[in-house]
Amino acid sequence: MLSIKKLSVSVEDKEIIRDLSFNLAPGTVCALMGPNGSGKSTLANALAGHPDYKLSGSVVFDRKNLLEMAINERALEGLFLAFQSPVAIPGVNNLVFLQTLYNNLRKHRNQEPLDATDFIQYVNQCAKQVGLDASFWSRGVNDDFSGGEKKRNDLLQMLLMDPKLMVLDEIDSGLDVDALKKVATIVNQMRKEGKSFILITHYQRLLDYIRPDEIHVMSKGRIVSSGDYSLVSKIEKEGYGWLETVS
Amino acid sequence: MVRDSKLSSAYSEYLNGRNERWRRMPKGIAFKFDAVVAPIEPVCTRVITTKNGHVLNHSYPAVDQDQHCYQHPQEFLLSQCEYKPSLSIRLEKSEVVTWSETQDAQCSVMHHIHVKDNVEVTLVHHVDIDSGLRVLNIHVGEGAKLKHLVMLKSCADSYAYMYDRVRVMGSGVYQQTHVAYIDGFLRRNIQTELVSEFAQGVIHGCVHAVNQSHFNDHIDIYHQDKNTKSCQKIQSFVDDQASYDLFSAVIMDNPAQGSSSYQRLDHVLLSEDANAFSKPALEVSIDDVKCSHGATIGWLDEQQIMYMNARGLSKEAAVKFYTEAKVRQSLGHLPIKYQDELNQWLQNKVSEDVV
Ligand SMILES: Nc1ncnc2c1ncn2[C@@H]1O[C@H](COP(=O)(O)OP(=O)(O)O)[C@@H](O)[C@H]1O
Ligand SMILES: [Mg+2]
Repeated sequence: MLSIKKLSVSVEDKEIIRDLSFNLAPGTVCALMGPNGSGKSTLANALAGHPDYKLSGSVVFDRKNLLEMAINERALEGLFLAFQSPVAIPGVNNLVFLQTLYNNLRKHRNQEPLDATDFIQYVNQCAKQVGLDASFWSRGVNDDFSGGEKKRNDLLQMLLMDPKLMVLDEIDSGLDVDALKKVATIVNQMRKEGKSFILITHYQRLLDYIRPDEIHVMSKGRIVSSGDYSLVSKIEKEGYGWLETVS
Repeated sequence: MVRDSKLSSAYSEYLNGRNERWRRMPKGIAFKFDAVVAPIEPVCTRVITTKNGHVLNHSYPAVDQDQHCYQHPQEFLLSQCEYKPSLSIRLEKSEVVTWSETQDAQCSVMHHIHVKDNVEVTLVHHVDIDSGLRVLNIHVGEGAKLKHLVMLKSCADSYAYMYDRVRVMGSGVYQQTHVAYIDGFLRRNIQTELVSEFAQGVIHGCVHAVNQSHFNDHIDIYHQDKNTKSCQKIQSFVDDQASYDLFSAVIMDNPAQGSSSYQRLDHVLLSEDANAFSKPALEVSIDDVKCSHGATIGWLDEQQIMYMNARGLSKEAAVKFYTEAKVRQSLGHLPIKYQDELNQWLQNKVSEDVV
C-alpha cells in the first residue's frame, strides 16, 4: 500500500526528516509515536502534499509515485490526512463543502453526483458514526467548532472520501472517550476491508482500542525504534528518555 | 509576517500613485443638482430596456423615445455638461420590474425612479456600462420598499462614472444588493439620504475586479432624521492587477438621534498584484446613536486552500468554491431565486474572463 524509502523532508532549508524508510501493507495499522517536535506531523503533511515541504527519496503509494502527484490527486487517489489542527473556513457552509468534496470525488470516479436530498441522507448516516448531527450543517466549515468537533468533522470527511490509506494526526487529542470508541470502531471496520492506517498518537488509550500491527517511534526526524504493541507500554511507563541511549 | 510587509508596501505604492488616478478622473464630475430639470414624461412599465438613455423596448408602447433621449457625445470629458433627465420610471404598484441598461457612448444619462408611497417593488437591474456618465435618482416614498438588485458590469478598457442618489422618506426602505464585475475604470458614488424618521438604507455588495481595472467606490449614507437605520456590507475579490478603493461613510447629524448604522467591508486579494483599500468613516456629531464598523483586507488564506486541496479539490476549484461561497453568504438575505440569479450572473462573468 505504502512504501517509503530514504525519505528526507526539509522546510526552508531546514532538514526535519532524514532517511526515513518504512512499508505499510494493505489492511495494516501502524502507530507513529515520539516526542514533540520529532517530525510526525511533518511526515504526515509531506505525504499529503503540503506545498511548504521539499522532499527527496521515494514514496510509492498504491503502485503510484506519490511525489509526482498534486495534493488534490493524492486525496482523490485515496490518501487521507486527518489534520492535527483542522483549519476553519468561516463563511463557507459546512454541508455545501461536504457535498462539494464528495461530488468532486464521485466525478473523479466517473460516478454521477448525488443531489442535495440524497446527499443529506448519506451524510447524516455517516455523521452518526462520528457523533455529529444536522446542527453542524448550517455552520461554516469548522467555524467555532470545539477541538473535538473539528476532529469529528475531519473524520466525517474521511468516511465520505472512503480512502485507501488514512493518516490520523493526533486524532485522540480533544476527543472524549465515546468519540475515541467511535474512531476505534471505524478503524477496526475499515482495516478488515483492507484499508491501511498511520495513527500518530501520544497515548496508549486509543491503541488499546485499536491494537496496531506495528509501532514506530520517531525522534529527531528518524525512526529510532520499531516493534509490536509491547513498545507502547514501555513508552507509557518510561516516557521517551530511553531514546537517547538507543540513538 | 511577510505578507503584512508586502501589503503595506503595496499600500504605499498605491497611495503614491493615487494622485495620478485622481488626475485621470473626468472633469465633468462636478454635479450641479439644482440644474436638474424635472422628469418629462413618466414611463410606466414592467420590462424595460434602455441604451444610452434611449428606451429600446418596454411593455408599454406609448412612449416617445426622442423626448427621453439625451446624448452628449464627445463633450463629456471636456466640459461641465448640463444634465437633463433622459428617462423617468414610476413604480406605483407592488410588483417586480426588470430593467436592462447599457451605455457605450460618451454621453451623460440621467434616470429617475420614483417609488410611490406604501408600495413594495423589486427592481432587477442589469447595468452594462462601457463609458460615459450615468446618474440615477431614486425616490423611495413613505412606507415604500425598494429591493434594488443590481448586476453591474464595467467593460474592459472602459472609463465610466456612475452616481446613484437615493432619497428614502419616512418608514421607507431602500435595499440595494449588487454584484459587480469590474474590468474597466469605474468611479461610483452611492449616496443614500435617510430623509425622515424610521427610514432605512441597506447596501449589500459583492464585487469582483479583474485585469487592470480600477474601481473607485464611494458609499455614503446620510442619516437626516431620528431613528433611521443603515447597513453596508461589501465583500470584494480583487484579482490580477486590479485595484479597488472603497470609501464608505456614515454621516449622522442633529436630528438623527436614536439612529443606528453598521458597516462591514471585506476585501480578499486573489493575486499578488491585486490591491484594495478601504476607508470606513463615521462622521457623527450627536449622542444617542449606535454605530459599528469593521474592515478587513487579506490574501486568500493558504491554509484554507490547502485544506480544500487535501480533500480533493484542485487549486482553481478551491478558489472558485471559496469565492462562490462568500458570494452566497453576502446574498444570504435574498430569496433563493434571486440568490441564484445574482450568483450565477457573477460566476458566468468570472468564468467568461478565464476563457
Ligand atoms: N513549516 C515549518 N517551518 C519551520 N519549522 C517547521 C515547520 N513545520 C515543522 N517545523 C519544525 O519541525 C519540527 C517537527 O515538527 P512536527 O512535525 O510538527 O513535530 P511533531 O508532530 O512530531 O510534534 C519541529 O521542530 C517544528 O518546529
Ligand atoms: Mg504533531
